[in-house]
Amino acid sequence: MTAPRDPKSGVHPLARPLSGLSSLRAGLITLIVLAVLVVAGFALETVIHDGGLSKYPEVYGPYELLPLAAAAVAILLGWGLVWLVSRSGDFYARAAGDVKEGEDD
Amino acid sequence: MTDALSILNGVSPAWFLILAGLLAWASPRSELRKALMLLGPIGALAAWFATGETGVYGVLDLGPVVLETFRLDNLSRVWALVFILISFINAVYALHERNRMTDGAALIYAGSAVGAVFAGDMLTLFFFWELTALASAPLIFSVGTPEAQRAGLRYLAIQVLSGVMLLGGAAMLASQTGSWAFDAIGTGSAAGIVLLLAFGLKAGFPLLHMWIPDAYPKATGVGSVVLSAFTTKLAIYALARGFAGEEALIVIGLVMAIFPVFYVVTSNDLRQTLAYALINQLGFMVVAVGVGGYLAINGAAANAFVGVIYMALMFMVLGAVLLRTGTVKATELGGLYKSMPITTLFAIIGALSVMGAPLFSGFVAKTLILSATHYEHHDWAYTLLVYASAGVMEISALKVVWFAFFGKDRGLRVKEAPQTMHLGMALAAFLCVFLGVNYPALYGILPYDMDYKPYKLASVYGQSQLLLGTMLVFGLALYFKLFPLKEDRTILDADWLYRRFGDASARWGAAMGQLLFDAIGKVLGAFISFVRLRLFNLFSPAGALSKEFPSGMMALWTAIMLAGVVLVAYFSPV
Repeated sequence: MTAPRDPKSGVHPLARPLSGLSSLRAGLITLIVLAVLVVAGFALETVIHDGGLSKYPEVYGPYELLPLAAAAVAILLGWGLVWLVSRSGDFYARAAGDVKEGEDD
Repeated sequence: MTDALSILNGVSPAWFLILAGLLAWASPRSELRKALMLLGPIGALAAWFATGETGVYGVLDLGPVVLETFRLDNLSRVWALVFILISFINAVYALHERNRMTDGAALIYAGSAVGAVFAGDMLTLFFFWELTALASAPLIFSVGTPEAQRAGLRYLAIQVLSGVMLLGGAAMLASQTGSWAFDAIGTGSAAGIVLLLAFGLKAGFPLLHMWIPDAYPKATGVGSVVLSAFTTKLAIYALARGFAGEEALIVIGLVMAIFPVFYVVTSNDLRQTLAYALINQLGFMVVAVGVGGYLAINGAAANAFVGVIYMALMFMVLGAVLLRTGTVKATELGGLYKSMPITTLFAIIGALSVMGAPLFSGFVAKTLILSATHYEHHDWAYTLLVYASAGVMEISALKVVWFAFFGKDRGLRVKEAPQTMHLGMALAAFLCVFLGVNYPALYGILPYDMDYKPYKLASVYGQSQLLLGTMLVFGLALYFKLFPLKEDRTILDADWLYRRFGDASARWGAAMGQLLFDAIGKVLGAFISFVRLRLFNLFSPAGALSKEFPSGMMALWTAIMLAGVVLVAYFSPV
């Protein structure tokens, strides 16, 4: 079962004001805003870490930098995982005989 | 009102759900089933409120064994409450569905989970533990596809195995201690190890976790909501009851919290993505149980409570997407916010809760566990949990929302989800926000009293930075097309061991056995033919023994036999 595909119709009235959200420009603006907020956050913490913004003494500093890198590494390592252990989408279905050889999904 | 409720004092809420489920199974009318699905949880909730005093109720004296079917204490009441709440929310969500099998199964499943939580002894726990397995399997089987049938069988096999291990471990423990009581167990004995494995199988310990991403995506839309709520959280309860403070659990929990990140990133099935995110959250809870102490156990309980609700909300959202589009594959979805904006809103609320955004329920629960690991001086665990939080929780939530509702517009123009689904989602979303803002309501029902303020400037600030940073990385990966999700691929996990390797090994073993059997048959056949032929040659009318012997030869044989008799007689003792 697949839904009808007609990009020009069927937009919900509540979604019409937000129709620009899917544009590339909107995405770029969002990214810039996020980047500014992240940089500002780190800068603020670095400047006034003695004023109560620092977290735990043992993990002083903008410790969120490391998870930020971890998220990036996780996403990029995903490529390695795909290369290493990915199979076709119907891998198990074929093995079980639900899909015959040479037959498309 | 209190007087009216007092007649329910001491009655286990589990029976209301199980009875309603049995009646629902028996009822051919869907209206009646839906009424039962709503009334069952309401009755259970009334019983939960009615039994105010902690204690042991519903005692069955069977002679050598005394069963405690309703042990109400500060630990069990938290889990029971959220199980009852989610069964009601699911009943509302599933009002549109006409499926006799799943209607009854969902209620009995919820009731058995509540019953297991209230079990005061191992035998009662085993009974309800197995009932959760039997009652939940129809939620997968009822999809009806061969793939779902096989997944259901795999799921059932693993769940029943967990129950068998539980019974075996309990029997070993009883033989050592003379008691069937379900209290602190520890890993100091073989029985403890077996029980830990039994609980770990349901909790999704590493390498025992594969049934979660295997089964959950194959259930019905409503089924996956229910599945996400009960089994694994029940296992966390069992761990908290039996193994609090076992430091090995910290390591196990950390592995659970971290390894799903790669699967979250690469899985194309969004319900499978959520299943891996669920393992990550279970990892947080397992770490908390391992840390022990009042703050950590409160953290595990709080995470279980809010986790049941926000994961159910996310599965509800994907259930609505599945109902309307027929798929939950990331590569086939995108741009759904244009036709399902209300569902999108609920997805965003659920995602913010999963991510632990301030003012949402995930924040006030997750911060308890982080603080507990820090206060108990497990700083390395704390650091890894922060990584896991950024890597798994946030990416999974962002991924589901992005790929289903935003992302590349696939031109899917569908109807919004049914209003009853919206109502169910709204109830869950309300709780996500309510518990996040009004956190004393959550902390007030936790097992131990505590004075904890989650909204400190440092923690809010730190968590906000974490969220923004992960969002930025996620956005950059999408913008530069670095996200490793281009086409529909199956990412192999440990289930490959039994779905392909184990299956192939079994087939190979069977084929080799057949060959060996054939070879043995051939050798035996040849031997029997040979012997038969020799005997035939000996005794047949034309055989050697049927020949006429010359009298000289007969005389010789007679002399030989006589000599033999004489020799035997000579050497025999008198």
